[in-house]
Amino acid sequence: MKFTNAEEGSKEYRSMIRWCSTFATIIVCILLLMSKDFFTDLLSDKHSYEVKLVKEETLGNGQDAYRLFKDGYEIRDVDYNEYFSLDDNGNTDFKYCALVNDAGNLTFSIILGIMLILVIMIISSTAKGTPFTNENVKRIRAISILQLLLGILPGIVKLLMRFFKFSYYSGHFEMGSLYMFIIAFIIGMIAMVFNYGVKLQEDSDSIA
Amino acid sequence: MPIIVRLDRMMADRKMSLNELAEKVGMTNVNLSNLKTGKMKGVRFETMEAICKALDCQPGDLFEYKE
Repeated sequence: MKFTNAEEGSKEYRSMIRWCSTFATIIVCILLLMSKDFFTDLLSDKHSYEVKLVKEETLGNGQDAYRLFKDGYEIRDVDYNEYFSLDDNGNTDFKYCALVNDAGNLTFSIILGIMLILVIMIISSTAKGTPFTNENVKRIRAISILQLLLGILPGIVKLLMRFFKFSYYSGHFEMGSLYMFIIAFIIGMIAMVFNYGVKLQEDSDSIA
Repeated sequence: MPIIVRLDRMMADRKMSLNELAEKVGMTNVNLSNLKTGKMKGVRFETMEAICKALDCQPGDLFEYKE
């Protein structure tokens, strides 16, 4: 980023850092709020969960659908196979199934939040000067690894939670995960390009 | 490196300080000091031109080759 004079550059830089910090704080707050809801539900027995089959006449789209209701309020469409798993006593546990789903989503959101914070750190360090620093290479590598985890970790969390509760559990590979692996590979390549950029920057800095 | 920077000798001949030269050339003291002590990998033509102008000398006066 080039600035016409030092004062303007400093002002722009401070403004960018302020925006980045605000954005990072908002992300952290949203993540904390999401975690709070999840842990409140996990620890309390106040809420009642049930899954009902909603008929096509009600929906009007030609398909029956299973929907999750919390305290009588409809939350979302659910997968029959995920919510009707039986434990060793032959019982279903809709609350646990909802928590399994939430745990997967929460894991996904946390990883995404960390990735966004790393991106903000890269933007913030770029505002100071060159983006080609060893710290940024490490950050981009971390984003690549997190992207890889984004494809597998939520699924593993859900699978493990089902494994501890139900006698039958299953996991499936989604096409979306493959896209995430490809994106992770591309980000890894970008990290390598940045690593080369760092070497060029060091060369350029050592020429008077 | 067999190329030796003779900037210190030229500066002493002209009785010019590092700060003064850095200001005339438009470089930072640190960069000029690194150049003087041979820590830099290279010199740009525009930098060399500015140094030659400030010290009123030829590029050959600034460098020496020794095996």
